[in-house]
Amino acid sequence: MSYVELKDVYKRYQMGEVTITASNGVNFEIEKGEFAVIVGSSGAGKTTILNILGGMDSCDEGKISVDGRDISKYNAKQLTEYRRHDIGFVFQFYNLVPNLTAKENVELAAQICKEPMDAVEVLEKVGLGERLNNFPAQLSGGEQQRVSIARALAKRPKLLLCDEPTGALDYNTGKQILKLLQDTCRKENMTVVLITHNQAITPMADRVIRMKNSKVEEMRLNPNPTPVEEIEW
Amino acid sequence: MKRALITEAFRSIWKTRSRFLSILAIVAVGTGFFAGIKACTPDMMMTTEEYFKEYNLSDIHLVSTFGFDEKDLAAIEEVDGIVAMMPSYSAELFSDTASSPDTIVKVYSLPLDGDWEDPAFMNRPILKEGRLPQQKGECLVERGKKTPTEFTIGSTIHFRSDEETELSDMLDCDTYTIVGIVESPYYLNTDRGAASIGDGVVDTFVMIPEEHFCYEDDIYTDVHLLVQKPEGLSPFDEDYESLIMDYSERFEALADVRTVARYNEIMDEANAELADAKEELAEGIETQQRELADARQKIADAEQEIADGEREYWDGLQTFQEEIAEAEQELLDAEEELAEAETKLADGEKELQEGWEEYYDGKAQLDEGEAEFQSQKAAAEEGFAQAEAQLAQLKQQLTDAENGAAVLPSLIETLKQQLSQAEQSGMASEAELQMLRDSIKEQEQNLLAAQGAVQQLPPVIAGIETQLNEGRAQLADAQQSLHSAAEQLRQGRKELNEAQKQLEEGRAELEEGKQELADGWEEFYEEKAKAQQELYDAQLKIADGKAELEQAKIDLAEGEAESNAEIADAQQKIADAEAELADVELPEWYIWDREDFGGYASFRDDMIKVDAIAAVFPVFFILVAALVCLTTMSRMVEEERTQIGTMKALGYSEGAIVSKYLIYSISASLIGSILGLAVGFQLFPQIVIGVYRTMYTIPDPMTPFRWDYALWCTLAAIACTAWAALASCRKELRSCPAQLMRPKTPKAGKRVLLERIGWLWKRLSFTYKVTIRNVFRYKRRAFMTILGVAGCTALMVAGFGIRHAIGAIVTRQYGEIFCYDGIVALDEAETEEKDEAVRHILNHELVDSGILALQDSATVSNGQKELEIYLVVPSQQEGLEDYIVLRNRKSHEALSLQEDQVIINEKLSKVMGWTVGDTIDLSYGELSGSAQISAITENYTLNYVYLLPSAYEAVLGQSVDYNTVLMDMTDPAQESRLSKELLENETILGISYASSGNEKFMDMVNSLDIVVWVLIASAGLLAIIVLYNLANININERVRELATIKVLGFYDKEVSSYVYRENNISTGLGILLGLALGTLLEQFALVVVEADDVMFAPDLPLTVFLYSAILTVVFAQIINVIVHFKLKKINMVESMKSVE
Repeated sequence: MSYVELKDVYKRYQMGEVTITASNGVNFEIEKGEFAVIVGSSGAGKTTILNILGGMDSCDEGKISVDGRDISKYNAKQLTEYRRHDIGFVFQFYNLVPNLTAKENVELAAQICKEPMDAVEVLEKVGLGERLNNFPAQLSGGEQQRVSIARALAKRPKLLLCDEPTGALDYNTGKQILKLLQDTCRKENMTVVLITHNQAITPMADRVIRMKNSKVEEMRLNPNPTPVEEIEW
Repeated sequence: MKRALITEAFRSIWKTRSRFLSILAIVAVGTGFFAGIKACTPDMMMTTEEYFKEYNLSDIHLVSTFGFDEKDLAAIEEVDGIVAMMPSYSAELFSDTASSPDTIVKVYSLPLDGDWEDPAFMNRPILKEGRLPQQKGECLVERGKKTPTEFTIGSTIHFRSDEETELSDMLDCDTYTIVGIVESPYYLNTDRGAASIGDGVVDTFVMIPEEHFCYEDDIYTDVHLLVQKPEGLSPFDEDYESLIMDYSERFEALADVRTVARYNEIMDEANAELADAKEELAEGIETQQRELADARQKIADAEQEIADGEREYWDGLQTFQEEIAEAEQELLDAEEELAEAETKLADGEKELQEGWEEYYDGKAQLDEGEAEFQSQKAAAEEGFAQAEAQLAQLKQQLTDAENGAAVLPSLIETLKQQLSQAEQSGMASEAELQMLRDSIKEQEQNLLAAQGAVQQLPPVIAGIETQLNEGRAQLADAQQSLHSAAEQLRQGRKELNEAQKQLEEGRAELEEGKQELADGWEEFYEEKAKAQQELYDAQLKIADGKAELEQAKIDLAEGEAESNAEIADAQQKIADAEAELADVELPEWYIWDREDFGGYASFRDDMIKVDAIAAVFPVFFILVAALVCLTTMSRMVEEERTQIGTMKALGYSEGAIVSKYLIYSISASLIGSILGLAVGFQLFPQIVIGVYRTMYTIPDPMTPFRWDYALWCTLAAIACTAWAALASCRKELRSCPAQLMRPKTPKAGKRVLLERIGWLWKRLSFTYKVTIRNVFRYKRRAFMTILGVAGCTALMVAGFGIRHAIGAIVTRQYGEIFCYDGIVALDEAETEEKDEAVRHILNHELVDSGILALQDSATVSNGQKELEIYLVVPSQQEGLEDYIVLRNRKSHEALSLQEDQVIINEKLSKVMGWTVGDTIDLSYGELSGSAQISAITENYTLNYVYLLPSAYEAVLGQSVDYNTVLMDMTDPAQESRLSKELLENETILGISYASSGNEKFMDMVNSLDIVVWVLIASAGLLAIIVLYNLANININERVRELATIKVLGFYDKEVSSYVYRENNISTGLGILLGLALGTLLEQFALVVVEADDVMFAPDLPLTVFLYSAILTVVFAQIINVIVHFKLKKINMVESMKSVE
């Protein structure tokens, strides 16, 4: 059994009288330590899948197992715990607490885990050893995203979920962030799931899951992922 | 304005309805509270004014110690400006019920046919239950605090007067049936006034038909008046007060005139009556003497009669005894005689027996003699027959001779007579004559021959005859003897028979005599018994007579004693009446205006206090409401920044853009204001007046919608929110559209001041660091929170504080400072009488101890201001602390009176600006002087100047005339008994107990409790709305951040506490600020409420702060709970989607 496995996952939203099916029988699996990229155009249902996988939302049907545990039947509290201990999130808009310094933002996440990494250490790892005590407003977008990644990593999650982490960043910075993620995946043997609409990024992934119309259109393994530096878009 | 814009405006109202509602709510609370509290006093006034008008409360109530007669009434009616006059009656009586004996009832007259249109029908009863009396014998009662529970509709009331008066002098009937329960506008509070009977306090009032009152001389006891006053003048207005003051002065002047006139009238009348009484007494004495003399004479007569009767009795008795003895003797004699007669009779019978024996012997002899005689007789008879035949021959011869001899003389005589007649007649011839003469001679010869034979024969005859006779005589003799013997026998027999008969007769007679004797005895005894009975009767009669006489004597003695007593009584009465008359004082008129009616003055003062409070407290609400509106509007504008930019970019004018926010804010505040006013105008007056209705008898409050207040409040609210909208928009509109359309750069994180204090910052846990930084980051919101919470806390501190400040008066003034249980007031009297009264007080078993003192009102002056105070001169310093404690308020150090200086109370020193060492000018009646202040003592109600007798003399130049005794009781529960028993002494005027002052204030404190709760509830509401509103803004503003930490895996609890911590810190700061502000607010409120003669406890105990803080925390926690659920509902996915 794979590390992460989604089986016939359905998610429907009721908007007034219209039912929107955001996930229409999604099936895929990801192995531990893989760098998986879920790619698809806007509205293809990739964020929904990420939300469900990250325990921020729940599916209506289907089975989701992470590290052998079925999270699809989790209640709110269990989901919170799941998020707390097993998931690291990286958002497009970083979602740092503006009133906290870089270090404090990491600490914010670290303080609620069982065996967190040291905040300073993580920040040094993401290359922000010098900017520990800066507030998000004092950091550039890339730096903020690094803090965001550090915050996710500090928890030692089972999964690192990234929702368009480069969406708000310029090309170079974006690349650096992707590199950081790839490196983390490689060095820490971290399972990373990245969502993007950018097809160009797919070569760097171990596994590419292509979504369309709320379904997985294609899933393929990439035996030889390209290093980020070599990717251009 | 464009249609789309308007649509958008209203749509945004709908979309952000919770924000809209929160503005609406805070405006509603602010205006509602402000206007509602403000309306309390006018509503209360209006309610009572209408109440007074409807039930026609009199302006002035006159009472005279002597009542009012027609002349008085006429004089009163003549006073200018009297609109209506109602003379009426009242009486103070007792009514005993099982639950409360000796209930003192004030009985008022009620016109049976009271015309409700007639202004002269004043102080009309307000019927609460039942009906008004329709006929005599019915009455109305009230449902007062001290009304006996037995006074229910259908039951009856019995009245009785006290010992000194007669109920029948006041009322013609003492029993009434209750038909209705009423209230009276005359009594606003529970105080029913003073009574002149019993323990001196009226417990309840009763109204009975006027017709029952029967005071003598048609005197009315009371006069109620309505005076002319300008239309619409409130009776609570100062103008009204001064108007009534004018009338009072007029009546005082009138009273001076009328009382003297009345006094003279009464004195004249009384003197006349007294003279009459004296005359009557003299007559009475005379009558008594006469009647006594008569009675004595009668007794003497009776005595005489009895003596006579007795004598008669004794005489009768003697006569009786004599007569009885005589009769007895007679009877005894008769008995003796009878016995003698019987003896004789027996003798007679014996003799008779003997007689009979003799007789039979005689008879036998006789029979023998007879037989012998018969034989002799036969022999003799033959001899006689021969002798008799011879004799018969001879006798024949002799008879012939005698015949011739007897006839011849008469023949011769006749012949001689014929011869003489013939000779004389001559006519007869001589032959004839010779023939006649020869016949005469022949005859004469015959005669001689017959004569010769007659002479010879007799002796022969006689011889024979003698012989015969002798024989015959012998025979006859024998026969005669026989005969006589027989005769004798016969005679004897006859005699015997006669004797026997006689004896028999004698026996019969004897028997008869015996019978007669027996009858005699019987009669004797009968008569004797009769006589004895008569005598006995007579004796009885005499005894009765004597007894009667004795009774008569006793009666006389009693009658005399009685009439003497009556006379003495009458004399005493006259003496008393004279003494009383000498004591009669000028009648006094009491001129009472509404100030003196039950509770009127305190009601007005309370209303003024409410008004003063109303001026302060709502300010907070308005302030906080304004700030909340401002914050909320600015937040809204900030949120819609992009939209504003878009609009601007589309070319809308600034005015058009702003108009949306104006519509939003104005409609929120307008609706809120209207809602708030609609509720506030009802709610607060209802609550506040409701509180006062527990103390005052006033009808349901009238709570009109007050347009003036409403207009001002609404305008203010609108202005405030509109300004908030404008101000926020203006700030945004200054930026260019492009800038606006970009998300606003998040507020940069900033180090707070605290972080510079490294050692402290390091010690704080991470979460607290975050919290503190957040607090400082959202300064405005924190400030708002702090202010809202502070307002809430401050209101509560003020509420609790005021309650304490006034409540402490009771415990301190009457518990710690005035330790006496009661003050006994003494009348002006001679020293001995006073000493007697003091002894009477101190010796009473309920009185523990006491101290003599002078306590009276006096005036002090500092040159600019005069103030009425109480002068207290205790007879000595020692033991004063048992009754009045003089001490420093802060240190509680005891103060002692100096020989020549005075101690004044704290409030007095404050009001007059005096300190220790200053000199005060003191005037007491006619006396005045100045004295130095030696110390200032703790005191809360009224103002006092304390000094020793020596100081009194030194300052006022006279020795002290004590008029009170301060005393402690052994059993304070028995106040009414003590009053009753002490008042028996005439020098004792009255007793006032510390507890009654205590009670009065307790009522005030109790009512304040409700006000405090209103304040707390309002404060809580304020706090909740403000905190909720701010929490809402907080969550909206930080939803992304909160979603993030949720995504990070914070539990709901952790998310909540992440927010709470900030709120708690703000709340904590708010509470601290509130405690400080509250103290100021409380002080301010007290200054406003405090009168010159009251000092509220100036300290604030810890509990006040504690309660306020705890309650605020409770309110904050309520919001925290709400926030918790709001946070729980935050949708992470949705929240993260939005781009700021």
